[in-house]
Amino acid sequence: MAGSILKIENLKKSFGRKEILKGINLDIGEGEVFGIIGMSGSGKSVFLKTIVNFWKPSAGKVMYKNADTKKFAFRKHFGFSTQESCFYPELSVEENLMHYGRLYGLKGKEIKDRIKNLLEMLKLESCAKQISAELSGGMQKRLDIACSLIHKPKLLLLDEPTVELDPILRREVMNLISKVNKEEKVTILMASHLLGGIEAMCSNIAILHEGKIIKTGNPSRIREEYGKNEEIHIRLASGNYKKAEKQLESKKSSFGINKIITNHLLTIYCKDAEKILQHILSMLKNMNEKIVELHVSKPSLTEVFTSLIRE
Amino acid sequence: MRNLIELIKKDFKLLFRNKSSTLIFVLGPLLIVLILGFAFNSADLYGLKLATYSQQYSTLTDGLLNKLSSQFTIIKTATQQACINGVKLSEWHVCLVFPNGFDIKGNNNIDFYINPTKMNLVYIITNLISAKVGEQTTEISKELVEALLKKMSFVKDEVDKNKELLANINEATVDIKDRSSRLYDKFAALNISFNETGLNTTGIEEQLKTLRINAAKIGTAKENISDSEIKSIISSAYTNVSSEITILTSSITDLKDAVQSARDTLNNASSSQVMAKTSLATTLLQLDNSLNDINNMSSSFAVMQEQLITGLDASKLVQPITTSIKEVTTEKRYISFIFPILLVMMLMFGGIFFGSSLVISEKTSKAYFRNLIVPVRRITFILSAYITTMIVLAAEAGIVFGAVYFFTKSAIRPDLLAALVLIASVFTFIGLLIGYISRNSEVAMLLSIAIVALLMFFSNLILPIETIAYMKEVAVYNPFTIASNIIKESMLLSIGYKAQLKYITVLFSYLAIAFISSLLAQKLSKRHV
Repeated sequence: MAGSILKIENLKKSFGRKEILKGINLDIGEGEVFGIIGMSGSGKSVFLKTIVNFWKPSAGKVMYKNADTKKFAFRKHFGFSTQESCFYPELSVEENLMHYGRLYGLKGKEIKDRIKNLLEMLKLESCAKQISAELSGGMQKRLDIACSLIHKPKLLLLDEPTVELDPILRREVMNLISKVNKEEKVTILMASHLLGGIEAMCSNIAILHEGKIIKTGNPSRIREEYGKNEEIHIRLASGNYKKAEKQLESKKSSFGINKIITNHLLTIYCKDAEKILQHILSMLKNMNEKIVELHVSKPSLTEVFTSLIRE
Repeated sequence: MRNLIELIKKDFKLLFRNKSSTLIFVLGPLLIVLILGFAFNSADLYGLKLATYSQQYSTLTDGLLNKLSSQFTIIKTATQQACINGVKLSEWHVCLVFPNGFDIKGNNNIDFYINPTKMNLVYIITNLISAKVGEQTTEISKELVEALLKKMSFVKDEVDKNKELLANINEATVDIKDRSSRLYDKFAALNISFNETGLNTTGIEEQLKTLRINAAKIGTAKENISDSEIKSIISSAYTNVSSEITILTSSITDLKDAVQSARDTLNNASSSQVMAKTSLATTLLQLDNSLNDINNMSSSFAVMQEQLITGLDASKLVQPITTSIKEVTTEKRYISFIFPILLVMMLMFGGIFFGSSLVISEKTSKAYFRNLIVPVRRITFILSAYITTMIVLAAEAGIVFGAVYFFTKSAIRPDLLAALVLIASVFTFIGLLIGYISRNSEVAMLLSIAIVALLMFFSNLILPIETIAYMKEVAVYNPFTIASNIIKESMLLSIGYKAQLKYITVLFSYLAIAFISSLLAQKLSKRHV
């Protein structure tokens, strides 16, 4: 991995008496996709906006390639896509990109080529002339990202890029972000409380809770290191999980089961799924239960996150 | 610079995309100006109604009403209360109540009932009525004064005549006095006493007595005379003497009577002399007094003569000082007088409302956050909003001046354009400031309306600022008032800017304050996004 692109030292931010960021230290490598995860209200948006000096830090500093981000020149090096799309709804896709391109100093052929590239990359060619307000949610998010990338920044900050999007669009946007990271060689700093796609996308994450970073690192390693339970998901043909749950409850300690949840499937949390799976399958066979679906997963990031928060 | 142009282009794109807003903000102020301009294209008042009540209309009241009928529609009401109620209910604008027995010599107070809530009309109406009543009063006064002057002239003539007469009387009185005085002196000198010693008959009587005694002796003696001749002679002589004595005695008695009578007469005369003297003295005194009175009268007449100034013009007495109102401008139509105010109103409405809405629409726009992170200085955003607003105002002003030129063929002076730019800039920055300090469009609109209303109220538009008791000093520095004055003085009175330097300096100060305040407000108004 390349060197550090963003170095955050003891970053603090207060609004009046309320301290939102309580001293954050982070080092983000160039070219990586870095995730900031935290609950709603943990300070993710404030953190991102403080990095870009939209909010003036109360203390600490943020260095972009050894240059203070407070300097006006830093604005040319980052792009920002917020939770709500940020462009002029009255202007067309092209007009928005043209407007922001010009504000970033692009002109002439350069800006036209750049717009063309972005429209292709983000699949917006078909609606280039369309008024932005008339676009669908996914298209609007793409336009927003395009506006953030018009000036070829080296750092892209994404604040909840997939919130309010349906799962399909969410996946689409995540793929887009990966594409941007790879093709544009842009370092991405992404904040989200939706942990679904974070693990797959991010090379590193930081868990933000009550204004502090409580954990940083590779998401898989964190999950393995801090994940307490593996999960076994079983769907029965009968759809009747009560009997199975009762049986498993009686064998909880012997099987090493931590928790059993029955919803529309049977979810068993245990230390070692491999070890007890055989026993569970035997038990179910004896009960003449037919298994429709069986799925074993390692501790999820959600669980790790939840448990770390609780600690 | 490139960023500034890009932002301005974006503003106009957004403006034209939103057609309803464009119509309201661009055409609204124009409509106001045009409609008001057409409406107030004359200095005359129309449709003013005046109700009157009098128990009995006279020549005097009819004369006054006749004068007022040129400006008002006169309505005679049946009762006083109906007249007053009509003002309250806005059926008519003013009610005149003539007192019973209205007469210049007696009850001459006319009551006017007006509706003070219609402040702007009240002054005009009261001025009109006062002018007409004043005219009538002047005519009446002139007649009275002319009558007075005639009488004075007559009196002066009489005084002149009587003064002469008085002089004659004086002369005659003096003469009488002199004569009386001389008479008095003569009287005083008149000695009507007599020495009775010469008329004292006592001696004569004594002598006569002696003579009688002697005659008696003679008589007696004659008897003793033997000589008949001698006795006859002596008897004849005695008889003669006796008769003479008798005659003498009678004469003496007569003399005595005459003396007594003379005495009495002289005594009477003396008394009369005294009385006459007294009377003469009194008369002299009275003559003195009369002379004094005559002198006084003469002096009075002289004073009256001096005081009675004749040959005066009654109209000059009634109106010793006349005024003639000369207009310093050749403009005749009301539209010309209110055009500067309309122009400033248009700039004010446009600058404040459009400026504030431009900023608010930017603040509430989805693109707000991105605009704050692009590499464009904040001041550029303010300048772009300012220039966009100024372009819109320039377009509106251009339409208005174009219309003015089309109808009046009068061109606009370049220095007036500079003043308009300054005025428009002040209001634009006030509008931007409102936009930056307001949280949303509703607050911005309310604040804009409040500020425009304040600026208009504390100006000469609704009420003269001279009638504003406590805030007059503040009202003088009202930017709307200052701007109107600059344009009025420049357009209508051709006053150059050197004379208006104070106003212009104040406006520049407002511009600087509004600009700096806008910068600060923009910095502090960062919205939580």
